[in-house]
Amino acid sequence: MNDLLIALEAVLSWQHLLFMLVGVVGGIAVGAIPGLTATMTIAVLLPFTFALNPLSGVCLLLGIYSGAVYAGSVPAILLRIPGTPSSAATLLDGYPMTLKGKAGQALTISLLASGFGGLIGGVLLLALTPVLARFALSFGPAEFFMLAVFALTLIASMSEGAMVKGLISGIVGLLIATVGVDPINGVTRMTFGIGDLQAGLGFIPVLIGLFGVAEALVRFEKHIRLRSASPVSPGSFRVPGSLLRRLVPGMTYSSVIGFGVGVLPGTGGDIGSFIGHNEVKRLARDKSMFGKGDPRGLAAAESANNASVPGTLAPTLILGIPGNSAAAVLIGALTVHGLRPGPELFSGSPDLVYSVFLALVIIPVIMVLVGLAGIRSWGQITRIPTQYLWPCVLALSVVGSFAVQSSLVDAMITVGAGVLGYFMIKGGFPQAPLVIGLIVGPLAETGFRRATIINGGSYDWVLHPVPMILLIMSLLTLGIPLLRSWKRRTANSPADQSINDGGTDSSLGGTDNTADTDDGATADSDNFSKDDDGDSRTENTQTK
Amino acid sequence: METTESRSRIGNITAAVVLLLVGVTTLIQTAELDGNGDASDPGSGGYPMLIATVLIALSVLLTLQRGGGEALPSRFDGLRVIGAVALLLIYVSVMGSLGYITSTVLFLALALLLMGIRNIPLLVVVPVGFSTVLFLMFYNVFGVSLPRGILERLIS
Repeated sequence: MNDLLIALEAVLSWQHLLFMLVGVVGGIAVGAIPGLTATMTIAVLLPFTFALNPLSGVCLLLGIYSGAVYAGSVPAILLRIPGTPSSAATLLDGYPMTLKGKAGQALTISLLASGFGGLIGGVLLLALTPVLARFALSFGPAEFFMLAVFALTLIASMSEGAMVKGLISGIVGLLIATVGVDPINGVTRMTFGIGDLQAGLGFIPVLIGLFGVAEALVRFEKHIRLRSASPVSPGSFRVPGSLLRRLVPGMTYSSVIGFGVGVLPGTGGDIGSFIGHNEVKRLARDKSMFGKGDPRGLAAAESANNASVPGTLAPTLILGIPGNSAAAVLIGALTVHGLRPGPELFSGSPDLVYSVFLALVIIPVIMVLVGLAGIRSWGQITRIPTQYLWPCVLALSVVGSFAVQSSLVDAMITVGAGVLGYFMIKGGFPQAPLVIGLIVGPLAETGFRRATIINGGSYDWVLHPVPMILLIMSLLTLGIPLLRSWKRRTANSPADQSINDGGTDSSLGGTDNTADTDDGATADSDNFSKDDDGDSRTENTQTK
Repeated sequence: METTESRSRIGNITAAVVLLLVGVTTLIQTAELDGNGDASDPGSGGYPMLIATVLIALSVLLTLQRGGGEALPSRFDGLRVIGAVALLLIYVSVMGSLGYITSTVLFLALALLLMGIRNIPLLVVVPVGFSTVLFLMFYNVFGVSLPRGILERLIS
């Protein structure tokens, strides 16, 4: 309780409130521009937080992230283009409302639902994580190794239609993490005689390259200019109280779902919003208007994707295993200051952890206030031409990675990671597992080796209860989609002998989720929904 | 359709070959590493070897897969990406000697040209404005010194 009060005092200081405000405004600006994703933005801007204290930096990044997740709904509602992948479900009911001349009302509902979802998610995080953290404190090396394996298998199985590629991506991340001095014996390995690699490949330069440079390279290739938005008459922005009261139960249910989905490694707002939308529709008495501009559908999608933001931070802060790529960037913001997320952070710096939780409760309130103040203007942001931005993103990526350690080698690593990321996008390899692999790599190796040493060189620690359960869950995570895919293939096309993995079954907001919604907008949402947190390929609806 | 599928298959096989090479190189690099004399420790090389073995197995699986990925860029689009990467490499290489501002202004001007911007005032204003603001921000607000050339010495 004392920690909570100290945290409350810290987070309510004017500096931290200002950082949250600046972050939210910046995040809304970014999220409203299709193609600029929340993950890319916080990755590229991460070096700007190094000069700040850890809480200020995290407040700024969380503000940007939350603001961008909300504002992704603006182009989704007005243009039928999700600003961020999390908003793919928003257009199911948001855009039809625009077609009915209710764009203003849709924007207000989206804002209020986002704030509501963020608030519920923040409160759930605050209430549940201390209990989970106490449980996590009992984890030993074996448990952490198997937890890392489970996180990787889960995120790989969520990789849309490409489970093998997702696994490869995660394994490459683990491999990159082994470069440099090994964590147990201090032996240098995999450096190919390059002295600068002794400290390993910096996680932040790799992250900036994968999400900043790679995305910009794709934009150079596509050479996209946004379709100029035809002027839309927003109509009234007012939402009647009776309508709001009707939306609250669905928003509450959807927020809880969004939070729960966000807690699972590899998932995020996009899958959470589809499930939230789908569940609210399933429970509704009158389903006929869903997908045709039903405010309940819009509110469900928006509350779920914003509630998933605090959800993704639960495994990040409790276990040190990021829930998604955006959470991985936040880990970067903490590790730069010598803080290592995990159970020890919870027991060692409880005031900081509680401050982060409280910030997640305050940010939605700030977001609603800022959002209401500028609600008539956000639509204009969608018209900003982005071709000027991408060269600046490249320069910012290089300079940002240089600034980490004043090292041009880091800048070169960023370029290399950017090229790798570009080829991953072209080859259909999801980037998120690589980042997760890179972060959990040292945790996994230390856990694996310590567990083996403790057991005198035997691997029977795998048979201990928690590691065994995690191993079974990992196998099920991989096995179930494969089995389902095999069954479907044998049912549909007995002649097809080609091996294809089963990732599609559980793809993020991809085929299955959208197919289930049956809202008449599935094809569009399939195109929009991509990676969990950083990969909107909005070009599907853009013109060259 | 056939062509797209066979192309993606070729893409998968190419990726698999590269990953196999990475896996084999890791095995070779780590095979010589010893443990710390503790027989119970898999050693510095044991864990990377395990990871590399899994990578090799998955690479083999990848060769059997079809589909996935995006279409290859057209020659012109591909050249634009190659141009952007070349610009980036040159940018990082010369930043130490030319200084941050000069190299960034040149990089941004050329990258904007590559992006199809032909508006000359903007080709000057965006690079100069962006690089100067960023330099002053890093120098004055964050206390980070970026590579210094003649211009940097003049303004700070």
